[in-house]
Parts: sequence; C-alpha cells; structure tokens
Amino acid sequence: MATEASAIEQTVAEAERALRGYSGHDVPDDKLLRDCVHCGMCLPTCPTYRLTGSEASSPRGRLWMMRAVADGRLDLLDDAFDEQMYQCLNCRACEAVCPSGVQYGPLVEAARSQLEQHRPRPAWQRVARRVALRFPFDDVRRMRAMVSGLKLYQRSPLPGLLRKSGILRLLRLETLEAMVPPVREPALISGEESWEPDAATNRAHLFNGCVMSTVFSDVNRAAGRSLAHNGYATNVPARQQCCGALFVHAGMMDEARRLARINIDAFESAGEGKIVVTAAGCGAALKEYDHLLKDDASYRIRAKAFSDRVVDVSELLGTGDLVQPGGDVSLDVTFQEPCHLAHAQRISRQPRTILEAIPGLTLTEMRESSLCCGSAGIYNIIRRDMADGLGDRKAESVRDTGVSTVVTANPGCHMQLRTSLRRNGVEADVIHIAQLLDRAYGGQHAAERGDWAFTRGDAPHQSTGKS
Amino acid sequence: MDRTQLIADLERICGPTNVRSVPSDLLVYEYDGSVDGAVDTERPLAVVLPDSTEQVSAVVKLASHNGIPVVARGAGTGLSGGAVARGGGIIIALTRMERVLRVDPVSRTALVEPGVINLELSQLVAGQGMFFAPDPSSQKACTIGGNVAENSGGPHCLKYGVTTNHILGLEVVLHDGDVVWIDAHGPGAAGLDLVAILVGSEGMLGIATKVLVRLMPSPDSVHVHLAAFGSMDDAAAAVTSIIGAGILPASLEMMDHLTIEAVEPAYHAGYPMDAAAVLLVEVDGTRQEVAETSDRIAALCREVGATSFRSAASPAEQELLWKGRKMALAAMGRLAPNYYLHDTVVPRTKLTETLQSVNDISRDFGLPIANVFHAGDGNLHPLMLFDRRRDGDVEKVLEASHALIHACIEVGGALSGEHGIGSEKRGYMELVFTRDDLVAMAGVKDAFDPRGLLNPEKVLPKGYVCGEVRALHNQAMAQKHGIHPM
Amino acid sequence: MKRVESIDGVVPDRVARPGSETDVADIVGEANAAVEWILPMGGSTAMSGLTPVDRIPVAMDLTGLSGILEYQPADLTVSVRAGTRWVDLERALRAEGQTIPVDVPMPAVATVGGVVATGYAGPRRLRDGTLKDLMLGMAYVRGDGLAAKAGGMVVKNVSGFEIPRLFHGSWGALGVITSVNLKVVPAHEYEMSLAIEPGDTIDLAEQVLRLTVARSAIAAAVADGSLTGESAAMIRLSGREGPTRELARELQANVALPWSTVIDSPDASAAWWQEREDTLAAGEPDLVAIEIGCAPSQVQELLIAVRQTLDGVEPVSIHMTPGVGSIRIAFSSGALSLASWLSLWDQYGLDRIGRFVISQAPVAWRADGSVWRIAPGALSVMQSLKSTFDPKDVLNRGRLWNEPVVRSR
Repeated sequence: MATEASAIEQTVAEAERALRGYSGHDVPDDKLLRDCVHCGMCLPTCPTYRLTGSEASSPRGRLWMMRAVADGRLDLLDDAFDEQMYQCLNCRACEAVCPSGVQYGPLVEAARSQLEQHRPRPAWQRVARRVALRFPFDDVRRMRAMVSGLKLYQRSPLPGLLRKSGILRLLRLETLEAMVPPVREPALISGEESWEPDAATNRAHLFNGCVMSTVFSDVNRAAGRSLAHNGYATNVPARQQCCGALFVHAGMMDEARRLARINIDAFESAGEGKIVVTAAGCGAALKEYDHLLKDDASYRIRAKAFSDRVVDVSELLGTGDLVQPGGDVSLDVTFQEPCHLAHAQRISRQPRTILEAIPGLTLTEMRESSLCCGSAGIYNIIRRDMADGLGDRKAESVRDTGVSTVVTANPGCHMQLRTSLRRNGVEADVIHIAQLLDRAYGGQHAAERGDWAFTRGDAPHQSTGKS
Repeated sequence: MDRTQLIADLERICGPTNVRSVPSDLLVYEYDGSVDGAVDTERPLAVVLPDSTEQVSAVVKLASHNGIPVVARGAGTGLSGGAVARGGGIIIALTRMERVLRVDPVSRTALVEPGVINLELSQLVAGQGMFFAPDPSSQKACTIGGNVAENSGGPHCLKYGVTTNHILGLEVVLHDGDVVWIDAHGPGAAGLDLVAILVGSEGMLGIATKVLVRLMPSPDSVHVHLAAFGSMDDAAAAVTSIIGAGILPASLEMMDHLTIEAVEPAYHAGYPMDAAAVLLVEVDGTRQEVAETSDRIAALCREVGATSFRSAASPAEQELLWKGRKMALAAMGRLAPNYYLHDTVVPRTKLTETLQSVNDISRDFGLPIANVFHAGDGNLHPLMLFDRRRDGDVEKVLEASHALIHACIEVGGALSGEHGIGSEKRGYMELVFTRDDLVAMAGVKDAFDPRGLLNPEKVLPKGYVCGEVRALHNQAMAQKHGIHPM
Repeated sequence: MKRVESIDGVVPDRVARPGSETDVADIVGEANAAVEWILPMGGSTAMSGLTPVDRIPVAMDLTGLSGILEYQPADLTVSVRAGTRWVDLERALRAEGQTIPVDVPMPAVATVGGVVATGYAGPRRLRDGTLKDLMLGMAYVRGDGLAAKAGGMVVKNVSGFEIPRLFHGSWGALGVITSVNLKVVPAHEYEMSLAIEPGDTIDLAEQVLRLTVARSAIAAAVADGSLTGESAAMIRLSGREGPTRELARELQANVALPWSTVIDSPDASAAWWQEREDTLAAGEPDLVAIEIGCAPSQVQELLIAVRQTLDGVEPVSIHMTPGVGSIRIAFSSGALSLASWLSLWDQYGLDRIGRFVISQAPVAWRADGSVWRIAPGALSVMQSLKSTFDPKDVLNRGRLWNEPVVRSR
C-alpha cells in the first residue's frame, strides 16, 4: 500500500510539474510569434540587451521564450519568463528594425496579460499595482487631485525637509519626487478650453491625457496655440479619459479596454477632425485601439476609425506646410526620441523638421538618440536598477553634445531625463517640442496680442489673455 | 564534475549575475540566426557573460580541466549554426566585452573587444574619415568577434576584400586557457601568420578577446547607379563587361524580378517594376576618378542593352537605392512566410549558367527562388520562399538546397562565400574536399585544440576529429606507401 | 633549369628536381621516411636571412614545376604552378590587361611559390595590400608527404580553415607549395612618380606619413637615405591616366613639400620602383639589412629610438615606407654583431614599439644568435602547427627556429 500511495504522490507531483501553457483571453498570437526568424537584427536596438548583453533580455530571446511556452517547452509560470516579460520596457525599438515585421508590442502585452491572469502574486504586490496604476489613472479626476496636492507640496518647504530626512528614500519615493517638474499652470480640464485661429482651415481635437493635462498642462496649451497658429480650430473634447497605455503595458487588458471605449465615445461625439496627442506613449496606445478591441464586435470598427484619426502633434505639424515661426529661439538643443514616437509610431523625421524650422535653434544629434532613456511608462519606478542604468547612459550622451536643452515629446521621458540629468550632474533643461514651437510662435504673448482667439468654457471667441 | 560545483566555479569567475544555468535561461542560447530546420538547436550546459580576457581565460581553463566543450558566441546572427553549442558545452557570450580600446587615426587601426558591433565601429570612426570595410548584411547587429570567426564578407568586399584582409592582430585564448597575442604578417613580423588561420576558423581554434582591425580611409566621392535590364542574361553580361573593362567598383549587386517585386512596393527605392533584373553599382575614390568611372559604367550598361540607367546624386538618394538592396531579405516576408537563404560562390563566368540551374531547380521543386546577390564576386544568395506550416515544405526546401549546392559545386563553386560551414554544411565538405584535404584541415584543428573542446561538431565532417584523424591519416599514408592496413 | 651550387656556402648533398606534384609528394615522403631534411627552393632570391646550417641533405629545386594551370581573365582568377617565374605569370596577366599588384624583387628569377612562402611585401602594400590578400587556394605537400589542397578558385570562400593564407610567409616550414590560386586585378592604365628633395630623415618620414594619411589614392611612398642624415622621398601614383595626372597636379599645387623631378612615363616610373626592389634584394656581400616594423603612428618614435640604439654605428642606410610602418636599416656587418644588435634592442626596450626580421646578412653574422624573434606564447602555437604539418621536421630544419620544433604531446 505504501508503494501505491507514493506512486500516486509521484503522479500528482508530475502533473503539478507539467508545463502550463497559455489559456484564457489574450493568448499571444501564434502566427505573429512565428514571424520571428531569430535573425538577431533587433538586438542592438534593445535597451535591456544593451545594458546586460544577455540574450534573455533581448526581443529575440523573449519571443523565443513566448514561443517555448506555446510549444509546451517552458512553463508559463516560470520565474525567468515573468522576469523577462516585465523587464522589457516595451519601447518597441525592435519593431522598427525587424526585417520580418514582427509585431512585438502586442505579443509582449498578451504575454503579460497571461501572467496577470494566471500567475499568483503576493497580496502586497497586487495592492501595490492597484494603487500605483488603478488609483491615479483609472479616472483622470483622481490624477488631477493628486497633482494639486503635488503642487502644494512643491511650493511648500516640505521637499527640502523630506529630502534631508531620508523619508523619501525610505518610502522609495525619492525617484518619483525628483522626476516631477515644477507644476506651473492649473490643470487643463477637458471640455473647458479651445483655441481658434482667425481663419480656421481644419479642426483638431486635443487628447488631454492624465499626466499631460495636469503636470504638463502648459505643454497641452502650447500645443493648442501652435495648432491654432497652423489653422486648426482646436478643442479638448469633454468626457475623455486616460488612454490606458499603462494598463496595456502591465497586461491589465480589461481596464485598458474600459478606458478605450470611453475615449472612442468621447471623440465620436466631438465630431470630425484629427485627434492630436502630445504624449507619444498615449499616441501609440490610441493608434492601437483597433488591436485592443479586435474581439469586441460593437467597437471593433469604431476603434479602427478612431485609431486612424490619431496623430502626434509633431506628426501633424512637422511637414512642409508648417507655418514658419517668426520668433528667434537661440538655443542649442538635442532631440531625445521617445520610443513610442520613433519606434511604435515611426515618427522620426517630423520633429526634426519642426526643430529645423525654428529660427536661431541649433540641433546637435546625440548618439543613440532613439535608445530608450529608461522611462517606459512606470518602468522607472518599478525597475529602478535597469532604468537608472539607461538614464545614466542617456545623460552621458547628452553631456557629450554640450547642449543646454534636451527636447522630447513624452511626459515619461521628460521626467526620466530630468532625474537622470540631475543625478549625473548634467546641466541641461528638458522641454517638450510643442513648448519650443509655441515659444517660436510667440507663445502666450502672441495670444495676448490677439493673434488668435483663446476661449475658455462656453464663451467662444472671447480672448482671455488680457481682460 | 558535479554540475552544481561547475556553476559555482563559473560564478566565482564571472560573478553570479553573469552566469546562466537554469533551463529557462539556457533556452534562449539554443539557436543562432540560422534557418530552422537547416540547423538543429541545442541547449548549452551553461552560459557565461565574461567582461575581461582574464575571465574568458579562467572559464576556458576550468572547462579544459574538466573536459567540457566551450563555444564562443557574439550576437548570434550567424547563418550556419556556428554559435550553437553542439554536445551542450559552455557558451561564452562575448557581448559584454564591447569596448573600443584604442583608435589610431594615423595608422588607421582600432583595437577593439570582440563584442563591438560592426556598424557601430564604423560610425565611431566616421568622424575621423575612416570606416571598417567588411559590411555583412547583419552589420547593424553582428560583432567584430563574430566577423573574425566567420571571415565575414558583404557587398563592399568586391573592392575591399573580406574580414581577413582587415585584421592585423588578435589576442587569443587558447584551448587550455593560455592567452597569446598574435600578429598578422606585416613589416618586421617573424614566424607563421597565425592571424591568417584564426580568422574564419569558426571558433574552433581559439577565442579572440581583442582584435586589432585595419580601418579604411573614407573615399572622397561615392556614386551609386541603378541599371535595369530586360533579362538576367543582359544584367550578367553587364557584370562581365564592367569587370572585363578593368573597372573594380566598390560593389556590384544584382537583384532579380522577384526581388524587385518584393522590395519596390515596400521601400519605393525606385527600382523599375518591369525590369527582369537590376544592377546596383557603387563607385568610390577621388572625385575625378569616380566621375570618369561612372561614365564608363553607364556606357557599358547601355551597350549590353540596359533599359534604364539612373545615378543617385545626393546621399539621401543613394541611401534609398541601397535600402532596397539591404532590406531585400526583409521584404521577402511579403512574398512568403519563410525563406531559406543560400550562400554560394561560383566563378563569375559561370554566373549565367548557374542562374539557369537555379531557375531549373525552382521549377522542378515548385519553389519560388529569389536572387539578390554580390554579382561582382559571383557570390549567389538564392532565396527559397516557402511556408513551414505547409506539410512537406521544409523537406522540399532541404532537397532543393541539396540540388542547388551540387549544381554550384559542379561549376567550380564554393560551399560558402561568407556564411561559413558551421553545422549547416558540414555534411557537404566531402563534396569539395578529398579525404587528404580534410585530414590536413583536421590537423590544424588538432594543433590548436588536441582534445576537440572548442566548438565541437562544426566545419569538419563526422570522422575527422581527434583520434579519428590520426587513424585516417595513418591509413592514407600506409596506402600511399603500399602498406596495407590490417 | 638553373644549377643549384650552394646556399650559404653549403653545397647540398643532393638536389631533387620534381616535375610534378606527385614527384614532390614522393620526394617529401621519402625524406620523411628517412628523417632527412629538405630545403625547398624557388629562385633562391631570399635565402640570406635564415639561420645558417652545416649541411643540406636535400635541396628541392621547384623551378621545374612551372606553368599556368588555369587563367580566366573574366573571373579575375589564375591558378599557377609554384615554380613559375614571377615574370612569366605577370606577362600572361598583362596580356589581358591584368596584374597582381605586389612588389617582387628579381621577378625574372623569383618564383610564385617563393614569393608566397617568403611573404614579402614592398611599398605597394600601402594601397594595394599584400599577396596574402589575393590568395584563394593552394595545392601543397605536407612534411609527412600528404598531398592536399585548400581553398578554391572563387574570389570569396569560407569553406574550412584558411590554410592558403597560413602558408603566406611560412618559409616552407609547413609544406611544399605545388600550385597557388590567386585573385588578379585590372592593371593600371597609367603610372607616374614624383620625387621630393632630400631633407632630415626623421622630418621627411613624418611628412611622407602625413601625406599618405591625407591622400589615400597614393599607391606607394618611400623615403630613402641615411639614418643620421638626410633622405629623399619618392611618391608613386597609378590608375587611369586622367585622374592620376590630376592627383599629381593637385599634390604639387596644394601640398607644401619640396617637390623635385617628375617621372612622367609609366615605363620609367615602374622601372624606378623595380630597380629599388632589385637593389635592396641583391644587397652587398658584407651588408646586414634588418627590416623593422611598427605602427605607422610610431614611425617617428621608432626612428629616434633606433638612432639612439645605433649611436656610433655609421654609416647606416635607411629605406622606409612610413605609411605601412616599415623601416629597413643596413650597415656593415663589422660595425655591429647580431648578439650586440639583440642586446641593444632589448636594452632600449624596442619590443615596446617595434619588431624586426633579419632580411639579409653574411652567414657568419647570422650564426651569432637567433635570427628569429617570436614571443614565446605565439611561438608555442607555431611549433604545434609545425609538428602537425611536418611531424619529423623535414622541411627547412633549423632554418626558422633555433630550437627543436617537435613538441611532445
């Protein structure tokens, strides 16, 4: 009897050891997985591979692992698999160079969704993720409340005191605290502001975003003014929400889909016209709503129509038709290409067209301008070692150019660059490309001169610059 | 030796974070860039990521002491299975050794570690008016160490020669872990040119840990021309007549109609869609020389019936023309889900004949084959298009490959022009070489690595390793002298 | 067929004259069986730099193994038997407007196999590289009599180990080359040479170096004269006539150097360079010539160091190709012994920047120490290779390394 019992025990143990494959929803598409011919062309573009030199930390390695799970050669719940799926910054630099056109982003996101569905996580991690992601991003109003608190905090003597006390380090909030730039303007509330050129030739709807509408509301306003300067009647449609990118990156697909549907509804009711985005990360996510909702019969087609309308502000303006700025902006700048602009959206030329059009501006290219700076959504908060390594590397590249200002086009990069430059003692400012263009157009002052009408709330065509 | 002990020792040498030993970590080192099916994958025993020569040496010493094979690996972009650990040894991944140690612009040399990426070296020294000439298609990803192991080529080898022409010295870790510096023959050099034999030895003779490379001066002027032809024969005739006129372009590349069909809609490089073949010709040198040569090439192409001839003036236009060529493989995805890229060299005069054979094979096996290749060198890259999910496709490709290789060897061709033999073409070596030729080659292996621990089961066919070689050799000598073995 | 009289004053016991590859294999095989050593020889134009020996059991004269086996001008490849005179190969190539752009001293005597085996490269290596770069394939007989081939007849080939290139400069130590496959190139339509007035040797070396770094189209540039005094330079240009003349004009107009005579005729220019090669190779009975090499960027440093090292030894003539880091010095054998040269070299720590080989010296001078200087680590690998190719050390025994080369396993 004893032997029989142990035989059963053994069988049970074997069954438990059996490799678990994909199941449930968001299974990585097997056809897409097999597009990879493991040629290795992606390797040098991958930030985590560049730092570690390790094949497992490369897109090719990760795809091979995903395939091994599909083939029953690797356990879905293997620690190394989890580690790699989340070590990836999802910067998608690999996609841009892939000769076989592998769609890496959707694959890694699906793999993460699988892990979210099947991998038991310790309770504290689940709570932490919920707090870090769901709380602020689930509803843009919560973000706004947080940022108001932040603004108060920044203006108080607290930062200095807390930094000295070491409490921030204790709470692992030091990085976060250092990343956020001074919040200058009040939040831009969707539905409350718009910019009207004298002679509107086109319509544009600004995608407001969470961090962009709060911490970087000045950027969104600068974009609105620049769009108006180029003939776009621009508004900020009400009822829009967070793009959901961070949920997609974390594999929390249900949350992402909920937000996507809200946004599709909001911009459909706003009417015709481009959906203009100032955050590359949001832009990339919005352009992929069609993929995100591909299994949702009632939204699939509408999602495609929505995605087709989405453009990055530099994508829309950085063409031959750009209205030549008149103001002189004497700055030496370099351009850090946000991954989600250069790789996910393949927008690389247009921002440079804008920079080259600005009188007085000198653009010096840094090495590895399209290598990830380590931000990648909330990666720099949850994977600090790797993010710091990339940030240091980026700071050195900036230092070698000797410029005074780094131009970028994404809030995550903006904040990561600030921290990295400061940590490495590189004295350079970080600025969003829309702000630079706005400055070249005369910015707020031009608005005050009445070059175009700025409206707030329900009072169209009424200038609020100078009352 | 106990595996746990081995891992502990490796961790002591390279640091715990630079040793991979759990199955899931080893999984990603079971392949290289080779086509599935043509090369078997195999999981290594362990992977180490050393960051100094001392660490490489210590790992090799440890492995040697325990009789464990070692395989050096760069970016793993190779196309003949060279970086796959046959027999499951220790993979030494040199990707963390990626420092450029010295650039000497007067001597036009650079001392680099093996993990430096080929194109990044050229980019680094471009400002000093220099470049590293070997430019394999994988140059954005492949490492100099890998180039040394494979003796890599590329389009510009027509004028500048392959990797071996550009390596001046190597620091090498030998089979027993000893470290030696070897010089290529140059002024004042005495003894054998060990660099000559190390380059292209596919990691079977030693592991290069530092590489002294020759850099070429960037040309004053570069012109890129695109000539279109109504038939492959006309294009091949143009190649013959350009070379025959004593012109040596920097590169001379041919693409057939199937390739153009894949490339042009994807990249809009400006290749005429109705052409049966196009030639991409790059000329470089002094301004006047380039202008004169370009005119002669234009005239020669027209003479043999080029349907159009276009010159790219601006660097942007040149880049676009090249993009079509460089991304040709990528674009093949538009025609079929999978491809098998071949690499064979035939005498230039046999080009037309060989292309005809390729055509016949394509027809006989019902496999589309695209041709995009280094015409100036006679280096063909027939590209078989297939779908691995379709039953029998993989087998068909392997059979057609066999036929293709035979056809090329028959006209005096070589098994590989730049991809290497590795494990992919080991079995074909006896097609080209006699037993004595292979015995002599095995002797070289024996001199460097008597126990056969460096990258086993590569290049030399089965039966030509270690003890077997001596037996074979004794047999050969006995026959030669009329003594019959028992 | 020429008569072999003596090498370094030693008359061989026997001269073998193979007429075919099989003959070579038989002769080597027999020597291997008898453990009698063989001195393989071509034109014997480069024999005066090796370690002298008391006795030569067998000299193998390979000049009978001559002729072109296969030449396809359109393929830019040629296969030639090892004993073919260089001049005969070059004549055949020239008839098709092609050439092998390397410098060969005494081409009417030197053989193709000999040029490969000695690994010689002259000033033209600056732009056009060396013969090693052009080697595609080879047939050879190992020291144990095994006849084999390696490489092929195509211009790009990575099938197995690069044995042909290993034989470049192997001095017959690994095997006897029976035929070589070479890549050829289109011959230059035109060439001319520009002279530069004499000036201080070290300054001139630096100027010539700078010139060749700045103008990569220059085919060759040498500076010859005296180590302690002045030297004069010669610049060789070749290519299509128009661009070549244009480059010459441009150099004279834009480069501030004391330009002097111009040899504006392809034949006269080629003759000047050939004569330089021949003169250097012929040497003089009592002269010691040493070829020192270094990184081109260190030419100046090396020249200063050599000048210090040889303080008091006069006169020392010098022939330099600064662009490739080659400095050939020559002095009377009575002025300095081999042992003194070696000890001075070490005393001044010249291994730090340079390396050297004895190009030629009287027999007695060479007997005074090791003429080969090879780092121990590399030497041990070389010896291991040697014992694989030639296990009983029957090829050129004692001529290359002054110690037993058969390493026990």
